[in-house]
Amino acid sequence: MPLTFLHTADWQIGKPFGSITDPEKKVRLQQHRLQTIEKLRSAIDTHQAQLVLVAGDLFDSPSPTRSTVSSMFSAIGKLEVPVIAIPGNHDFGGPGGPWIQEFVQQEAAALAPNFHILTKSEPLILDQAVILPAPLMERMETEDPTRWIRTAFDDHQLPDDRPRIVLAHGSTQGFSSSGDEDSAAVSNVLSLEHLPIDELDYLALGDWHGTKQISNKAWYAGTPEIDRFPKGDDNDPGHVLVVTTERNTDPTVTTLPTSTARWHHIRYHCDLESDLAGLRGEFEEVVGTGADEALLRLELSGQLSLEQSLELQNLLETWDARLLRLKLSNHVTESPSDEELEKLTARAEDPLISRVATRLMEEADGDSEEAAAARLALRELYQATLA
Amino acid sequence: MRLLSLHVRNYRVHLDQTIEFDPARTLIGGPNESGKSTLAEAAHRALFTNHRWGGKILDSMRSRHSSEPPEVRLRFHADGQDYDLTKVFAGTTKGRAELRDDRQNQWTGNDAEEKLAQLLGNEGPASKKEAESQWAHLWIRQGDSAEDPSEATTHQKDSLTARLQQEGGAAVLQSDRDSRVANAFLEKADSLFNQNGKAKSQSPLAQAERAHEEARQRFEQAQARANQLQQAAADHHSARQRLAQATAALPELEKQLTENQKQLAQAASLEEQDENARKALEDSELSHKVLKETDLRIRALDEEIAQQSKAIGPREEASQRLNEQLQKLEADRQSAATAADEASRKLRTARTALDIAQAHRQRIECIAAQQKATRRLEEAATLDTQLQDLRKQLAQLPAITTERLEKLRQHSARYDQAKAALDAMATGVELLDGPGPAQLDGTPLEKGSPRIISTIGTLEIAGTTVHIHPGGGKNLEQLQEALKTTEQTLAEAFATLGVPSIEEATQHLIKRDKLEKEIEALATKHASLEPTDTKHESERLAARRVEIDAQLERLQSPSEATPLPDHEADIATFEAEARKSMDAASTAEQDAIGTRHGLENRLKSLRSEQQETDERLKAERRSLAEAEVKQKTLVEEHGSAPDRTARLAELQQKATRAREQFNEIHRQLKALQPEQLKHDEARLNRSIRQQTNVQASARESLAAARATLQSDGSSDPHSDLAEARQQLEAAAEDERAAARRAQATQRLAALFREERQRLADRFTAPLSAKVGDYLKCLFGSEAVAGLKLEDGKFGELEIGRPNGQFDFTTLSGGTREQVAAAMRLAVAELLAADHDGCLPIVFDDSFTHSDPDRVLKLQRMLDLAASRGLQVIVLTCTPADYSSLGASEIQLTQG
Repeated sequence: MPLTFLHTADWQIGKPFGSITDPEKKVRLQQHRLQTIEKLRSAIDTHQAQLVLVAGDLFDSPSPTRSTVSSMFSAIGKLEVPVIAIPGNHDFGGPGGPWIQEFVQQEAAALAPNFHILTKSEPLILDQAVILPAPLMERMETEDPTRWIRTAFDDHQLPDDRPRIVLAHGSTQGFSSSGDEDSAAVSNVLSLEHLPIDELDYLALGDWHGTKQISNKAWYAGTPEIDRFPKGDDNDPGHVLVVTTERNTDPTVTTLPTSTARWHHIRYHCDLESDLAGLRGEFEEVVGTGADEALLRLELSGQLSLEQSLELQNLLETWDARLLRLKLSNHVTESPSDEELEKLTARAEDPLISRVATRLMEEADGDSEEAAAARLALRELYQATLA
Repeated sequence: MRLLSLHVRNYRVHLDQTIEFDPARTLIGGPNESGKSTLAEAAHRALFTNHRWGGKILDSMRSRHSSEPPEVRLRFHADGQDYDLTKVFAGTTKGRAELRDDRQNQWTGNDAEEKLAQLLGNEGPASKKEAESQWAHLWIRQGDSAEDPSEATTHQKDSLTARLQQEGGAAVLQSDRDSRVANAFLEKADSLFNQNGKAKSQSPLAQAERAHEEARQRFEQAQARANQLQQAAADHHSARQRLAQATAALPELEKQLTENQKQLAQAASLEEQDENARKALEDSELSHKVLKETDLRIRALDEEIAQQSKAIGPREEASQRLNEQLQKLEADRQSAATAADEASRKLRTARTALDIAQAHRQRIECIAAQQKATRRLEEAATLDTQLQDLRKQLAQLPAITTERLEKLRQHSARYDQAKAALDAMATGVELLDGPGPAQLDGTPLEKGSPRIISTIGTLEIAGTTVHIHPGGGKNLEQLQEALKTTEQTLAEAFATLGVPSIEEATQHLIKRDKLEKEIEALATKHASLEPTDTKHESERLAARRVEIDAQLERLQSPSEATPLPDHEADIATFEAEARKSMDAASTAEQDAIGTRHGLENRLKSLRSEQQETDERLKAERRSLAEAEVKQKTLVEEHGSAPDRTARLAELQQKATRAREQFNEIHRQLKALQPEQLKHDEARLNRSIRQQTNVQASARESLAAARATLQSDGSSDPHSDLAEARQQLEAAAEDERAAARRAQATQRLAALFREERQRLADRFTAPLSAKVGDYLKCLFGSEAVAGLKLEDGKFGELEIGRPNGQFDFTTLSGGTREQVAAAMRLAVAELLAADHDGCLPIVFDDSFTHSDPDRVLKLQRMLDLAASRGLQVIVLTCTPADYSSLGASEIQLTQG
């Protein structure tokens, strides 16, 4: 009998978003992550899912606060189907991790009786399926957490009438979250090629934040709520997977978009000829309306006249207010246009301003901090002459 | 503009005074109150005071000596022409002004004032308020000379600025906008940074820095907390590993220890066996060795007994022979001793006979000596009687000696000499005839009876008294004294010796000599008899005879008394025979004793030989007996020779077997390595202890780590750290941005400051240069001037000299008036360009504080100004000080 379940991972509830200074925006981003769990409810209803499997990293931190814990279990408690999870590298199962804390266990029991955290490398036999968990007991496991599954069918009598699902968290060959801020390349490596793949029906993986199919049976669900700027074309986060599987049958997997926040990336090169209309246009195109749920990584380069630079300054301030977050990497250099240059340096009536501007122009060339300060000074001087 | 002449009428002290000005250098001298300053003032009033003004101004000009209005006529050159200006100051209605040029143009009244103002470069006539201060930089009044001249240039600011702009080429002043923008940035920089260049605490940069620092601290705290948790997790992990390892290792260690204990027990048993086997081996080897040695000893004893038995026979025979010889020798010695005793007895008898004979002879000799001594003693007694008689006779004679007699003779001679001398001196007085008696010294002189006088005599003849001085008178007394003395000495000598005369004394001496010679002869004879010695000899002989008599009585036994001869010859013979008998007896005794000694010596030697032989024999017998006892005992104990040989072979076999057994056990023991087993035991016990300790400490660590990792959920250290890290980065970025903005502002302010200064310096440079030129006249070639222009006003005049840089206000009064003059001259020189290249400059007693040396140098400066076109007019009460100026001189007189 086929089983339909939701495969998700990397909720990372409680992520601090420390780079966001506006507390309200920060709270909103954090709320989005909790709301994702609630969103699962409609997916369960829609797809008649019988289970939710969470492949690690439910918490962002191994030491979540009480309120984070309570909120998460409250949300899980509302799902009405069993939610089965393993510890990931962020919320590892051993000492120092959240799952052995009394108040976590207490809140789980009180608020989410449907929740099960699997911290032992042993099969869990359910009516609908056999779950083969590969929990991470430490932040960095040096041995493959799935290695016990290699011999699981020799060591255990497991029913053959229901799908067998591996629940694991870590990187696989070719797909690792190395380079991500919180993982290390040598640890938590899942050697899926050593698993008795014919004995298994689905591998529900976590850790990789993009949704990714590894093989016909193995998937990374990715994080349901996007938590970082896009990393590449093949990195497609913001989903949960609806999986339908049966013993000895390849699974059917559907991806459901779930993310509320939008994370965008714009690279824009300015030059003296163009004005900022191009940038405005791209912003409209990429972010469009609803900037209040968007985060933008804006990388600027090139040169702008002083006038345009001042205009850019205003534009950026506006966007910064409007967006959930504007992550700016501004490598635009202010460079007076010929007209501006003349306005500054060829002022017969204002010999002093003229001289100062000339000297700042001499200093503004180059990449040094002094040159940058000189360019800034030039802009300010220009601004002062306009008054 | 150049002053040509001044004519003053009814003006204060001056009723009518005319002065012609030199085009370049005019010196106006005159004592105090001669009206020098009044003239300067009058010229100034002509130029700037309106002819219609009255009141106080007019009153100050009026003459005390005339009721006529003050009138000033000033001729000057300006704008290419000569002008003749006359002003009569008489108030609004009567005041008059007239100006003519040399082209017959004429202006009067207000026109004249307007034209004048135009010629002087002003827009119009000066107001009452401003008139006084017009050209204050050119008219240096008494008392103003040391003041900062920049004040005086205020009125000329615009023209001076214009001149400087022309002089400085492109030099321009900052605009209002310049000023506004510059000030805005300077103020902004001031609000950001304090004077040390540090960000002010309320500035955005300081706030960003603080925020960064706070973020850093929060990050460090969060990191410390997170590290603590991470460390605890790591500790937990490692403790768990250690516990697992220790727990795994312990059973294996226990197993090894059990095996070790088993082997150790085996080794202990083998060691015991080994010890037993070793003892058995040693016992059997010892038994064999002992028996072997005993056998050898018995065989040696057998040999020894045989040899000793063979040697002892001859020794016994020799002993027997010696014994026989000894018995014979002892008999011989007995008879020799008897013979010797007899000979000794005979010798004693002979010696006694000789002693008697000798004593007898000595007795006879002693008696004869006694008789001789008696006779000598009797003769000596007779001689002694005679001697005593003679000595008695001698004693009765005066004690006259040859010397004493000689002395007596000398005394007598001296007396004779003294008497002769006196007699020789004496004067003879003889009364030959006369009627009357004559007296000498009271004694009547007899006629013809000469008298000798030896002293001063008094002669009285017939009433005439004459003193006679014999010998002159003086020596006579000495002679008389000498005679007296010698006579007395002689008398004392006689009395002492007891003789009356020399002749008798001589006889006594002869008699004494004869007696003394007889006594000497008798005494010699008496002494030759040695009466004392003889008496002693006689006493000794008496004692000797008693001794000899006693000896004789002792020697002669009453029973066999030998008759002794009495004659001398018989006595000698008797003694000789006795001596002969004794000698013979003595020889016989010595022979007998010699014989006896010889025998005794031989006996002694033989006995010694016998004793030695006996002792050796005895020892050999004892040794033999001992050997026999030993041999017997050993044989009894160890059996006979064949028995012993069999037993030895048996023991040999037993020892060989014991050795084999011992070697085998020892090999087994060695194979077990018992020492190593003990080390193993210690090692294993140690390891078990260690692993147990590891278990305990790991359990403790686990508990501690668990406690640290226990969370109550009130905070999230990991999340805090992540957040703090991001906030730190953001704060660092904010600080960088703030720093950059602050740097931009700072740079703008610095550049405005620099450029503003540069502009000002460039602008004032021509003026500074000219001031410098004048200062060089005063302070030498190295003097320079610095001048600042701020807000359109010249100020902060500084002079640089070789000994340093000085601010105007810090200079002394004298130097200040000189420097001020230099500044004024420079300003005048610059401004002169607008006045046909010339301006008058009036110094009214302006250098009163300058010392004579400086006044001399001042003239160089004034001359330089004149040579550059200025019209220098100096008013002074000491014109002689300015003699080197080469000026045209005008002398005013008082009143």
